[in-house]
Amino acid sequence: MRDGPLIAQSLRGTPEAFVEIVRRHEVAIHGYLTRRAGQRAADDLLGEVWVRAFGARDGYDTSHEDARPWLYGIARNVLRAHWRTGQNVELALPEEVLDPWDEITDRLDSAVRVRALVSALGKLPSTERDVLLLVAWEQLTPAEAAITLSIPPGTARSRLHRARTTLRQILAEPADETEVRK
Amino acid sequence: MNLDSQDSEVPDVLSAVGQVNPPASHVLENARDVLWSAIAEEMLSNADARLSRAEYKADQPQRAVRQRRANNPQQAQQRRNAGPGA
Repeated sequence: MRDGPLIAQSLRGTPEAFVEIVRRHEVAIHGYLTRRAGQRAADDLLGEVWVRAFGARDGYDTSHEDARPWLYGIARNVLRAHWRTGQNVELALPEEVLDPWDEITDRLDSAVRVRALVSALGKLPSTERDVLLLVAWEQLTPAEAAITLSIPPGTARSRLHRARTTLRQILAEPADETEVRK
Repeated sequence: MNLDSQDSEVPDVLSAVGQVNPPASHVLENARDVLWSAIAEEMLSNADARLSRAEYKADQPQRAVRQRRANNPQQAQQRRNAGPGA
C-alpha cells in the first residue's frame, strides 16, 4: 500500500497504521536531520518529528503517494524550533543567524575540493541552498522540494536554477578569491 | 569544478558531502516508542469517544419514550391529575 492510502487508513480508526509510514522513511528523515544538525541532535529530534507528523496527518494530501516531501517539511520545522531554542529563545533572530552551516562545515572532510564546495554552498542564500540540497542530498524532484518548503513548484525550479548558477560562478573564481586557502 | 551535467565531479562531491552514517537501530526504536505513546493516547481517546457514543445510543429508546410522553398533552395532563408520586 502506498503512503497516501496508509495515512488515510491511520485517520479512519487505525492510527497504528502510521507506524508503517515511519518504518519506510525513518532512515531518510534521520539522515536529513543529521546532515543539518549533527548525529546527536538527529537522534534526539527524530521522535519529535514522528509525533508532529502523526498529529498533523489530517493535513496530509493523501493523493501524494510518497510522504517523504511532507515529512521533510515537518523535520525542517522541528529543526528550526531546535535551532531557535539553541539560541536566545526570547530573540526572534533572522533565519540566516540560525542556520548552522558552520557546524556542518566543521563536520566535513577537510579535503580542498570538498571544502571549496562547502564554502560555496555556505555562500548561497538559504532559500536557494534548501532547494539545492533537498534535490542533491535527499533525492527529491524540484516539485517534491516545493512540497517540503511549501512554495510553488515554479519557485523551487527557479531557486534551484539560481543556486546551480551561483555555485558554478563561485567555484569558477580563482582560488585566491575564495576561502579555499584555509 | 563546475556544475555542468556532463561533469560528474561536483555532483559526486556534493553527494559525498551529504554522506552520513546510518542511524543505530536503538535510535530508530526509541523514536518509534515516542510515536507509540502518541498513538496510544489517540486510541484511548477514540475508545472513550466510542464508549460515550455507545452509552448515548443505549439510552436512546428510554429517551425517546420520555420525549414522547412529554410531547403528549393528554398523558401530561393525566400525570398532573394523578399528582406527585403517581
